[in-house]
Amino acid sequence: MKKVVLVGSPNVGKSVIFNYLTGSYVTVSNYPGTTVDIARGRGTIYGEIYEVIDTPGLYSLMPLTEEEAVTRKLLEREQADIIIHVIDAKHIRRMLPMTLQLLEAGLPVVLVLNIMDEAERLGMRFDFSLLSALLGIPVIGAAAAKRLGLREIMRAIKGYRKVKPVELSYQDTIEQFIAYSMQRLEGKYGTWSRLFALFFLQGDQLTEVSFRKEKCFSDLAVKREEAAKKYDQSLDYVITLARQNKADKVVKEVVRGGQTQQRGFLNYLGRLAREPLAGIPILLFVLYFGLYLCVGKLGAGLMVDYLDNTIFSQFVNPWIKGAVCSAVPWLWLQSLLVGEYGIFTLGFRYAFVIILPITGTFFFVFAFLEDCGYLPRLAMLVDRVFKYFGLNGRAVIPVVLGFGCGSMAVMVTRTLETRRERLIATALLAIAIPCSAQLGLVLAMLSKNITALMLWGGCVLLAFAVIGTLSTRILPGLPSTFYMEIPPMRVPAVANLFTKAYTRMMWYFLEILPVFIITSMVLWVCDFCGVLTKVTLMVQPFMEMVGLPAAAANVFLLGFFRRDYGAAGLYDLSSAGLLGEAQLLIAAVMLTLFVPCVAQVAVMYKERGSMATWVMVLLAIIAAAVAGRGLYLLLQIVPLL
Amino acid sequence: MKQGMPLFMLKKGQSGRVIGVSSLSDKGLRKSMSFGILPGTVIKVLQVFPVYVLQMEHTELAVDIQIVKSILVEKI
Repeated sequence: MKKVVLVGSPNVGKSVIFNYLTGSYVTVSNYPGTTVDIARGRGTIYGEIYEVIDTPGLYSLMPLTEEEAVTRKLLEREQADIIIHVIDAKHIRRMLPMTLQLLEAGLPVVLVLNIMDEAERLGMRFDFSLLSALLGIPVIGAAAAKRLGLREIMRAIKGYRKVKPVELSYQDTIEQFIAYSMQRLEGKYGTWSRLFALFFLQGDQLTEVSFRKEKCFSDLAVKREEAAKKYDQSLDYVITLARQNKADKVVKEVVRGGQTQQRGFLNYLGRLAREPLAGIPILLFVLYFGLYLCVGKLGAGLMVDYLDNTIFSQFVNPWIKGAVCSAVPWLWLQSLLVGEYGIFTLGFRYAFVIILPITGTFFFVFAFLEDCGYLPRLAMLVDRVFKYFGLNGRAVIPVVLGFGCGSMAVMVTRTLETRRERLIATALLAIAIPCSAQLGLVLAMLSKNITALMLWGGCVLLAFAVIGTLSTRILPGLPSTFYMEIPPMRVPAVANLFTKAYTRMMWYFLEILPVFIITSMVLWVCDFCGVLTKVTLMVQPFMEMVGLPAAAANVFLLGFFRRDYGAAGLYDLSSAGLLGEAQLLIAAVMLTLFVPCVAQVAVMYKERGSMATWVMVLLAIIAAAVAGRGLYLLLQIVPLL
Repeated sequence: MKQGMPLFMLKKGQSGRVIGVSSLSDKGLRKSMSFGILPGTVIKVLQVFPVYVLQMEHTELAVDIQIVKSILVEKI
């Protein structure tokens, strides 16, 4: 089976093309870096089956972050039959150097100038056949999101014939080094050897590692030193500049126009959203409207109420209970299915009635923010604040996504540059950031009492600040520099919002439903053989220390399996009227800070290692205990509620 | 060598042509280069707070002061 690999800078539309070629769905957005994993699919192109691979975006074949390294390694490893390099047509000058790198690696490249509609609106005109002739490769113009040029891409894949592309030559010193190293290198680098020699001069880490195994490594290093002495600037700079000059020459010949300024309402809004004076009010509006109204009031309030009180309590539950009790004679099986910790009454009900509407609304709001291009503007607004916590603006994505699902967010921390940043972000996600299910339920339970809600918000913010400050002081290093492209604001396609929210929902659901069912089974077993009572008794003194009723112990046990599950338990307790205002607040704060759910711990373990995970879990327990006790004492002295 | 000044000396709304990029770290240099900040590039300063927003051709790029410090420009 022939292999097609899609590569290109972040946010140029690789995933849209992937979806079209394979007929499957991967997340598409107006945010650089949404694809953090490699996606593989199959597509039939004019009767022939191809394997199609979508990769995380990268600006250059010399990687800066982990996810960029993923793509580079994939390109080296997979013998792709066709590489489709997707670039944003209006950024051709900036993105063409990577096409040149791909050609220098001897890869079979097809160049796609995507988002042509925006380039044309800027007045840019392209001479495709000249560009194709100058580079010696097929070139196609497309506007994939508008479904233009997709057939042409398929035709280019089908009709691809390997041709000899243009060669790019450098100054003598550099060419001499390339010749020398290609002669001496013994490893099998295939068509990559020329590019590797250049990368070695440029100080690329991955090349450095593989060249270290070479016998001639020290000779090469000496030669590199000698070459470097001949320039005022670093070799990296000299080589990049040469490549850019070549790209500039090409662009000059094939592109005309492009002076038209962008105008219009969206452009104006995009500018407002990035300036602090208007940006902060806009941010508050987004928080209020998106989080409070949509997720809190609509999702966690109206929809949960309706599903739980009307649909489930009145129709579904009685019916299922009746059906099970009449069909199943054994009491133990009855209680396993529809008892207090039953698979149906606890597992399914929590998942469908409580979690689904909340997480669903969150993912929808998030999809909207992603697609309209607001998130990069948010990232730059908060950069300074995040720097204080040892992160930079880029961390805004994992953090915001963490308000939806912590497990997903921990995976997305891969887009951060240093291990230190990934650790800090993971710790914040594990402790101080409530996921949408928790957030929704807390908002729903506390919104009757505005003081309680403010206190809860204050506690969580304080925890965020403390954890952020602490980890910044403990872990050595500095925040890395912030850079982010600000894409134009776009009107999201409604269909795409639904598909995206739906895909994330499905991912979430497939991951959580089994956990919910297993949890209810475990709890049922514990309840059945009396372990639950014993554990509850053990935890009771701790509950008393923070002034909570014994029944709240269950909530924390549930919370250990999944945080959202615990939050749902809290919701049950409060609906049953077992908690006073102060107790509800304390329980809500503690559950927010308490250990993340099983799924998130598993992702943390996989991404950050066991040591970091255990430290964070321990920290979470301490944070919850300290906050609970502190709040209890505070409320005794100052009866705010 | 032409007379240059660091990019942060430009005020909001002013433009400059890049004459050099000096950076303490290779990473910072590579970052700027991957966005096409190279000699000859014309940069317009759109915003200076809370971070810099630079416009190069049709790219809007948000960068912090670390990166801005390393870019030498001549004012146009």
